[in-house]
Parts: sequence; structure tokens; C-alpha cells
Amino acid sequence: MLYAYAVTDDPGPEGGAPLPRSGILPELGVERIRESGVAVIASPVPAGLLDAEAIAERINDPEWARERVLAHQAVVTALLGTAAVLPLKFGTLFSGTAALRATIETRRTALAEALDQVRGAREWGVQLFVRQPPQAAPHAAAGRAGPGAGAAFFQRKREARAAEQAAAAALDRLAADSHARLARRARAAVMNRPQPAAVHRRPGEMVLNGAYLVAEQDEAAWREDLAALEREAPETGADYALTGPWAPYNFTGGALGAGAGGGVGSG
Amino acid sequence: MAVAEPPRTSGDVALADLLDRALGKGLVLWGEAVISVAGVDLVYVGLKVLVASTDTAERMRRAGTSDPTRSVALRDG
Repeated sequence: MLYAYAVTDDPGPEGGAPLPRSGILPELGVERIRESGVAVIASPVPAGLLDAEAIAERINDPEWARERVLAHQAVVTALLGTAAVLPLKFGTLFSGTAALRATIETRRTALAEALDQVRGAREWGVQLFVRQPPQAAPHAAAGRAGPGAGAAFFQRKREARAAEQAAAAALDRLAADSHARLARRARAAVMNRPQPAAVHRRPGEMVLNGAYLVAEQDEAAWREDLAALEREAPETGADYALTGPWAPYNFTGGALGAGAGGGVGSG
Repeated sequence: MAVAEPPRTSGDVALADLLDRALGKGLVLWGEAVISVAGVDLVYVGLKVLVASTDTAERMRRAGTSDPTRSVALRDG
């Protein structure tokens, strides 16, 4: 079997930056397989190491799974800056070199286009957190003399609902506006589903979970756009978190895979 | 290309973001035929289910915070 990490530019028969020594498992080497004008970075996996039985035994061990994700990421990260890189989804296994080569060959045009899209650019993540406890409605109507206590009660309920809706709409606008301004200088941009509080574990609510593919020559200006948003933050009560640079996981060309489905924890 | 200044986030947030990316995104190369022929879809499907579970993600994060050097390594990504 072959565990594949990424598709990159083909450095040619002689070229290519040195590859990491170890792969998805510490004992596995990493090699470059050239096919159809691109290169696949992969580890040969001896039988029994990552087959169904082996996985079934370890699947409930989060530490093991986590180490595998980190190992995948370490290989992908080592490739960044040496060539255009399309990171593969974690867990991409092929039955062997023949299956891998056939897969690449049938997708070579789309792969070349996807590599062109990410060449010379890096992915950044921006998350927007808002510390705003959902405000209860103003109780101004409480003391007002009116047609009756019942009517006043329902009036307060209506006002509370209206206030909640207005607050939610304001957050949506803030997220959309922030995303639009960050997307302006980006080569491509995506809005992913915000992480729930149990995942991000930061104060406040995540209202934007964006990813931005930014050409290196535009990075300084893009960072300035982010800084401008942050300068406005005291007024908007917003907290922007920047992560990256990432391998362009969000910009690998969604139409490539016949099996490209929905994401886990992101949309 | 030069590595940019470190991100301004904690390792925990970066791990959650990595899981979002490496498991939820990334290039999907295989077609249906490859899945059935290779017979290794359990690796992907199994781990997808694993991390889709909030409880498991939480345990993975706890495992991650037990050794701060690993969070540092992760941030470099």
C-alpha cells in the first residue's frame, strides 16, 4: 500500500528538495513518485501496518490518531516553499503504485490547474470572535402604563425577539463584511462553518471561520487589511485570530475528486 | 520562501484548525472504483467518524495539551 501526503510540482528526474525522513508512521520512509507531470509524495506501507485490522485496533486511541494527523501535517509542511503543494486529505491510501499512477494520470489536467492556482501563494486562516452575551431585551416597557399587564408582557416578548434578531443580523453583517474585505486581495477565499465553542475554547462566539489564499507579493497588503479590521475592533467588539501559513487545504480544487464530500467540522 | 511570523493563536486552536483542514478539507484523489479496489476506505471513513465525534476531538485535544512541545511543533505548521 501507499500512503499519500500531497501532490506537488514535478521537480524533474534529478531535482527535488530533500524529503522528510519519516512519514505517517515513524518507521516509514517518504518518497516522490513522478507521474503525468506532477509528483506525489507518499510512503510505502508494508502489509499489516495500516490495513483494516490494524486501523480497527487503533481507531479508539485518540493519541495514536492524533499523532498520525500530526505526522501527515509534518510531511506536508516540510514540502511548503519547495514547490507548489496540494495537500491530500488525511488518510489517503492506495493499494499500490499502479493504482496511484492511474489515479494521477486520469486527473492530470485538473491537477496541473490546481497546482497553478496555489503556486506562489499561501493559505491563511482568520477567525472572528465576538464577546457578546445575547442581550436580554430592554425592559423599558415594564413600568409603562398600558392597556394591561398581559399586553405589556407580549410587547416585551416582541421587543426581546426583535432585539435578538437585530443582534444576530449585526453579527452576520460583521462576519460578511470582514470576509469580503479579507477576500479582496486574496486569490481565493472560503467561509467555513464557525467552530462550536467546545472546539475553539475561546471566550466569545466564533462568527467567521475564513480561509484565504494570498499570493506572497500581496501578503503585506493583505495583512494590512486585517490590521485595519483589528483597529476597528474596539467599536465592533470583535477579536480576529490569524493562523497560518497553512498548506492550501482549502484550495485544492474541489472538482478533482469523484469522492469529494462534505467536510468534518467545517463547511 | 521565508516562513512568516508565528501565528497569534494557541496550540489548541491550531490543532482544531488542523483537524478541520486535514480531515475536512484537502485534495480527494480517489474515485469510487479506487475505494472499492483498494479496500482501505476504513482508514479514511474510520478516522472521519472518529474526529467527527466531539467527544473524541476533545480527548485528542487533551492528549495534545499534555505535552506542550507538540503544540509548539504544530504551530510551526
